Amino acid sequence: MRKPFRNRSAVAIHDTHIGPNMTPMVDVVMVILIFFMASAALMGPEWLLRTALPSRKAAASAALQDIVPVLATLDSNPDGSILVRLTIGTGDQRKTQEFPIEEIESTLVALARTHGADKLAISLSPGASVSYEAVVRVHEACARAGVARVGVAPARDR
Amino acid sequence: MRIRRHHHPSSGHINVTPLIDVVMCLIVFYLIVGRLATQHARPISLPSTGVGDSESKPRLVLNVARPEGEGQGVVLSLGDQPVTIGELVGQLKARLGEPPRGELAIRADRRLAWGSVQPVVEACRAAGLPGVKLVTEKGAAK
Repeated sequence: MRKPFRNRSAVAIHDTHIGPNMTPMVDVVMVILIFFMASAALMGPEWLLRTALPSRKAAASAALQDIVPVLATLDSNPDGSILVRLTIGTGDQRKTQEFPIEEIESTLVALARTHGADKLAISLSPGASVSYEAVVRVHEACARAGVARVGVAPARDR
Repeated sequence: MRIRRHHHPSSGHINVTPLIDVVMCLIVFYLIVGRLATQHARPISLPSTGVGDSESKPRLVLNVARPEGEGQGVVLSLGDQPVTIGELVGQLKARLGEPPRGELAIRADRRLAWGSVQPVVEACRAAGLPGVKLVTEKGAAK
C-alpha cells in the first residue's frame, strides 16, 4: 500500500513549527538594550550645583528669618594658595575665621553641627584672581556639609 | 490547466515588530544627532565635583569658555548662539522672560579666574534670575 502524499513545502514546514517564534522578541529586546545604553551614555557625566543670586533685600530678609548669614571671602596669595575668611552672623554676634582652602570642608561641617545646616546661608565672595575651580570647590564643601543655601554675594559687597 | 495557489498562513493581525524596530532606531538616531548638535565648538574643561544634583538639565545653558591663545576675557554662547557680555542681560530677558521663567545652567571653564566669570554672574542677577546652576563634571566621591 502506498503512503499518503506528504506536503514538504516551506510553508508546510513553517506551519508545523511548534513553540513561540523568538526572532521578533530578540529583535525588540536588542533594540531596547541599545536604546537604554545610548540614553545612559547621553545623560552626560555632569552635576548641577544650585547657586542663589540674592539681592541686598533678600539677604536682609534672610537675616530676619532666624537664618545665620555666613560670608565666605576667598582671596589668593602670591604663592597661589587660597585663603578663606568666614564672617559668621551679623552685628555684635559676628565672628570671623581665617584658614586655607584645604580646611574648608571640616570647618563647614563643624559650623553646620553648631548652628544647624538648614539655618546657614553661605554667600560666596571670591576675589577676582581666585580661580573658578576654587569657587566650585567651596560650593562643593557647602553641599558636603549639608548646607543648601549657597549663593554668590553681590559684587558691591566686596 | 491546474493553477497552484499558495496559501500563506494568516495570523489575522498586523506584525508591528518591524515598525517598533524602525521607530526605536530613529529615536536613538535623533538622540545622538541632537546631542552632537549641541556640542560646543570650543571645548570647556568643567570643574570636577563629587556631589551635586543630577536632575533634568535647565532649558537654557550658558557656556563660558576661555578665548583661544593667551587672550583675555571669555567667549560666551547662550545655547548654541554666540553672545557678548553686553548683550547677555537682554538675551536672558528675551529667552527667559520678565520675570524669568525657567532656569539657567552655567558651564564655565575651570581654568578661568573668577574675575572673568563674575560679570557673567552679575549679568544673570541683573536679568532678574534668583539663581543659577553651575555645571560640573561628575568626579569620584571623596
